[in-house]
Amino acid sequence: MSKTPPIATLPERGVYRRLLRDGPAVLGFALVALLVLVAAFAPLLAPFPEQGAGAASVADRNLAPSLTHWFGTDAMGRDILSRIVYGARPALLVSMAVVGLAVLVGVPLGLIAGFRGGRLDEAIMRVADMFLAFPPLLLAMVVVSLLGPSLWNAAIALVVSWWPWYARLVRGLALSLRERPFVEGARTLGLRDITIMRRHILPNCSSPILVQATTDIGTVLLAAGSLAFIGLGAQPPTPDWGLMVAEGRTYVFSHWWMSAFPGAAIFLAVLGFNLLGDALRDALDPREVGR
Amino acid sequence: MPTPLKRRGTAAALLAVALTAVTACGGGGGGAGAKPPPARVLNVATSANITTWDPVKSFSTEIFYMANVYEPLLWKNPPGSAEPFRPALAESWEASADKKTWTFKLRQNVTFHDGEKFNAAAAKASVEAAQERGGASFIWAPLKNVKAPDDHTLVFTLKYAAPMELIASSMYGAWMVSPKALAAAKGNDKHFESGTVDGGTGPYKVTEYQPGKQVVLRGFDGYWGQKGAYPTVVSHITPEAVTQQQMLQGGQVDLASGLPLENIGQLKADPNLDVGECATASNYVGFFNTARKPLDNPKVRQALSHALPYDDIIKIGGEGFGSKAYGAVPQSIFPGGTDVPTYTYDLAKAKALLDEAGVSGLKLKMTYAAENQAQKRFAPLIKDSFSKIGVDVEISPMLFNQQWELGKGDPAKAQDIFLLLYWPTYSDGGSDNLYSLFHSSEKPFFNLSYWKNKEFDGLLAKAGTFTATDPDKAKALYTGAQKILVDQAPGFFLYDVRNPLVSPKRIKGLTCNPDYAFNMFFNQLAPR
Repeated sequence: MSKTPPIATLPERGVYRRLLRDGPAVLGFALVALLVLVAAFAPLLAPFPEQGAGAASVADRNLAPSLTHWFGTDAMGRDILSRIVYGARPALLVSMAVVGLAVLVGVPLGLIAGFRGGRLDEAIMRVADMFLAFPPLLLAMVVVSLLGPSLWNAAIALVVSWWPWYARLVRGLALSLRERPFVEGARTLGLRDITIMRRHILPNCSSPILVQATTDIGTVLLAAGSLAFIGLGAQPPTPDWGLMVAEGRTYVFSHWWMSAFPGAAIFLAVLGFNLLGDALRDALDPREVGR
Repeated sequence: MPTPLKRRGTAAALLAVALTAVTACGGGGGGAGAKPPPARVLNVATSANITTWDPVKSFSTEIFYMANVYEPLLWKNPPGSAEPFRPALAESWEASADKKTWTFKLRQNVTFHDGEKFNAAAAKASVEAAQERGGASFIWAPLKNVKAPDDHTLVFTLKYAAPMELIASSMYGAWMVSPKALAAAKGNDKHFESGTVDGGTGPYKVTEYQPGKQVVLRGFDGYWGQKGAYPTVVSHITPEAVTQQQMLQGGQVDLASGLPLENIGQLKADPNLDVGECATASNYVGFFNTARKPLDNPKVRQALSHALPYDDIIKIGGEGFGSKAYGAVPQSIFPGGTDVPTYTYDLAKAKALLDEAGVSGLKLKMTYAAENQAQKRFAPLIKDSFSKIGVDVEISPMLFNQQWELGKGDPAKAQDIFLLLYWPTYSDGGSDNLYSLFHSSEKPFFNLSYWKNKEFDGLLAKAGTFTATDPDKAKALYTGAQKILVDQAPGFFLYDVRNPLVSPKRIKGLTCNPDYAFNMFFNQLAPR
């Protein structure tokens, strides 16, 4: 027998317990927590803070991993571990800013489109479709090419690529919610549309948005790294992981550590957000209750 | 004094930067009567792309192929050769005492690829086309007229004394082109577009062109000179330097023109390769925006010039492939010389000069060409070093053409520091490098410091009149001008570029020539 699940709401009793019992979820949470801690305390954790921020040390160029430089040094003599520690900051900042802005733009538009329907819905969704017609990275590359390569221009470009996904997600949810009895009731009480959307529709969309956003942080981190890798994102001397992989690429056969460690940092960060996103989806899905 | 109108296209800058090259540049042509070559294919990896196949308009990286398809009147020999020039399509030449009349005797029995005969009328038409619509038309600025009194004599009459041998052997703008092709191109802009239509006399013809992929050259049976040992040359267009390295070491190609400087050590360790080093006519310079405060104050510019870590910039930017710069003219070309003063890296002196100028908390915006790997490597060093004297630099990478457009615009809105890789069209650093980069100009072109100095301009004007008649005097005058330049510091001079010469042991014929550092003359190559 199938039944229509009730709309999920924000974490309820048992969600945290389910999360803690889920091994991959704990790993994901640990990786994300580590990333946040490293970003917050970078100057304290980096063995060579000045080099992490970009200062060169020409005498120490291209050193292999050792007790002094755990991850070796790059072509400018900078300690790669320090660069990775400092690189956590732009990685986290850009990916969270992009997802945050995409949510801020996409969610209200999706709410309006789904709740109001009609021509407004058509107009908003056709615009969103136009953006979705391009592969996200390609659209971002076009935008950065127009704005000029930089970390924040890459972030703007990614917001342009990302907001329609949230508009589409929330529009679908709002469309199904607007006919629900509690919304009808709110209407009968004479509440304004904006109040209904804010108090009744949006809270019921929050779990899918949270799950999507968590997973997207990892995806955006990867996309920002890809833009930096092809020269359209962060620029030297920014300690950006994608840029570090690109800078080390030409040395890959002789100085493997220059690309390998920043690449591993990207891998672990993306893995962390993906595991956490998956775990949140499972934990917030009412069908999982009791498992 | 000519007004150079050189373009520094994005692609050209890319090639120049990546030119960690196998530069087979002894020159082209020469030596008739070679025995027929065995059937062999030479595979080459190169980043050289094609902006235009029109030999008259060409002013970018297509020169890599053009130099095998077209020929000038003369070739310039590498520095240190017994003779500075050698014949190409001209067999001999002489100048009047005042160097205003130059007579060239042309080679006979030369045929263009399209079957036309090469003669004085064809040469005259080529020069006039280059002067009228050439990408490097400015090189012909001294020319008053060119006449063809008979089939094999060409007479140049100049407005002022000028080194016509240098102009006739220029890397750009001096190709001899079939009159039939010139006429066709005049009526149809797209005449050369396919690439497989040409009007040259050179040892090779283009037989296949796939944009962005490959160019196939085949030997020209009717070539007058030394035919190549490789009748077919396939150039694989490969922008990535590391990919070129893999192709070379993996045996997919015989030669590579843009190998990564960072990995020269690996190439040196390869028993199949010989690695040498060549001087080039390229150098890295920077401009201070002298139209804006406080950079209008020479003391501030001198302070910043003392804060540039010159040695580290060569080590990291050029991966060691560079030599100390003495002014704006590279050592490998006239009038370069070590008697031009230089700045030392001295942060204490830099700080003292800034204090003297009453400047503190200075913030500057520095632009560089995003596609230039060396600039990408050394720009952070400048930022890092300037921060030690309290100067905060915002680095802004831009595509070269965007950077140049910004620089050519309103100086009040332009960058504070502009980094540039520069190379002259022909080997006269006085009339090109010094004039283009630092002569006063109402409308900025390459003089991107917006500096104006009458004494400097006067010395350039005077020196230019002696280049052909009294080179020593011209050099002394240019050196005087460079001393003013270094003292007033409207710009800074980072290093003269050197290129690695990576030569597979199974191939012979690779040589260095800074005058044709972007070219590879395939007919000079042969298997060992």
